[in-house]
Amino acid sequence: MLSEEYKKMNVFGIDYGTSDFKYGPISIGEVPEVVENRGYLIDGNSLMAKIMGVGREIVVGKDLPLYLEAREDLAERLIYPMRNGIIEKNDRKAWLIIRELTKYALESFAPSDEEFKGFYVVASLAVIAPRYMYEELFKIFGELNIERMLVRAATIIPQPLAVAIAHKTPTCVVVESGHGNTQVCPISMYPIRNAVIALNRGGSSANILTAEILKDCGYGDLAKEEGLVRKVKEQIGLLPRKLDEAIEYAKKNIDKVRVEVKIPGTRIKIDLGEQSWTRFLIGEYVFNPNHEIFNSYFKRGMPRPSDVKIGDTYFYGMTDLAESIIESVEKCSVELQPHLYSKIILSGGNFNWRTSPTLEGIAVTSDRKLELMMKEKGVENVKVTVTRDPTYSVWRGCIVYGYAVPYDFKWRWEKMEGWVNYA
Amino acid sequence: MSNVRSCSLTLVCRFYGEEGGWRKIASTLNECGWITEGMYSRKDDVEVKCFAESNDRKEIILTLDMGRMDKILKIFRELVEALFRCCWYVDVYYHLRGSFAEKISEKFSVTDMEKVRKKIHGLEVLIEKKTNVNLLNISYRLSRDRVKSASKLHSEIIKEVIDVE
Repeated sequence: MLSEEYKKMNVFGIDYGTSDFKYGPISIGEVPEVVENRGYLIDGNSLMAKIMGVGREIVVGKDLPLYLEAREDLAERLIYPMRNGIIEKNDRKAWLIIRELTKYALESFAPSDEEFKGFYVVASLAVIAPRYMYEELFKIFGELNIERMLVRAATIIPQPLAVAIAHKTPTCVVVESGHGNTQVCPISMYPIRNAVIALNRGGSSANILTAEILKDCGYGDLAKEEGLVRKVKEQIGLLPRKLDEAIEYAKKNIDKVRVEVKIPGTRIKIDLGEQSWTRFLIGEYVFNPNHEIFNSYFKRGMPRPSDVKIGDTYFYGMTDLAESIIESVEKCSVELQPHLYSKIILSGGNFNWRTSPTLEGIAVTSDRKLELMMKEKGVENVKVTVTRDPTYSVWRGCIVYGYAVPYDFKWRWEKMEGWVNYA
Repeated sequence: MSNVRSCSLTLVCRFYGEEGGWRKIASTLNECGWITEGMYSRKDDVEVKCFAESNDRKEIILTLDMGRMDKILKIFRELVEALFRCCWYVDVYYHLRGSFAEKISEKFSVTDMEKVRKKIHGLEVLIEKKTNVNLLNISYRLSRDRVKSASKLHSEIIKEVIDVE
């Protein structure tokens, strides 16, 4: 039964995010499985590994923390292959981890019955991913079939396009902000690649600032643990409508912004006290790190998001979010520009900012913030939408795409669409 | 992952011979008192979303927002009866995870078998268990004459879910 019906039952989405790796088949519902996009290389010479009977070289997935060794070379062995969305062509370790993660994901769901002839895999990469990443990933899918048929056919789509597909919006600007980077991508049926802007800023930048805030408030010991800092950021971070006004309000109304965070499963409680106004800095930093208040952090050694070149792509460090969208849209045809401004979609975990009724008019959601920033820069008729469950919208787009593309539609490099067949 | 997220309901609707798509579903639901906005239709605090459409527009996947289980319990029959105005059949899928998966597995006496077929209230039900991701899928093909049976099964599943919550 290798037909359209078989394909529809066996679509499998994989979102290779900069921090999280989301995966699962169409039959899983609306929420994919999530593990960190990382792998741990076991030291082959480790005596303990031999004694304990650890028979593999790479560990990925939910069990990974069980294998971490308390060693100085942990940072060298614990690898996040897609920190910037791009893997260097010759980065053997990173590709090994991607291979292992992909295998882990597919094997988690592959049925053992004989009717199963492999998944129709829709993978999603950063829009800035170069062609060799597509080629390498297609090669990995083929290699995985040597032991057992896991991939019947595969296709790869850029993450912003997946978001647009999930929202059935053919003309829009998708801003995908994950842990390691932010991609601004105008779409008119296909991504307008020469107008894509990448920012060297994402959730990790807000984590770094949160760690500094924690240090200033006397929690320096906790600030070293990235996972904990991330949780604190998610609990306390606020996005101000206007930063100066929000700080002034917070200093005068400490009781309204003060919050105590308890870390589940521990005795740890965090209270910023008099410094509770700094909660607004965390959200602002993601949208605009140019405010003078951040200079005091830079002067004390917090790294300033820098412009970097990875492969052929420039990642801008300090460009504010509204400016980067305007710059991107202005690279498109004038006729298209108003349509793009009228549909800006924000996606990715970095746009999940909380508000509360007590802070109405002071703290805002990401869509409201960006609309204000765009208006201040003279762009009218802007409509910004935050995707529902922004963390999963790329994976959902993968599933929607795989379900719609006919099973016999062959991959074409010139259009970057269709299925690469492994039968 | 919260409990609400750990239970979801998907309806795969097959239209009669002709093309249908979300436009057809939305107009049918509107006739039955639902209010459509974009890719969502709402009634009594229950929201149906167009998740995906096949390329030929002859099949569509709908998902239900599981925020209000009490309402989901009541509206199921009304919803599928509305869908049968334009659909030939509807494949119903419950996706249950974590504690929900464990509780429902117990209820339907599903062991560690990966796939089992059972007849429940006259419906041919397929129960698939993925132990390594703690996921349980319950699915069946629903035809117009089995709506009453499906409502019974739906009530049993959702009541268990509400109990776990």
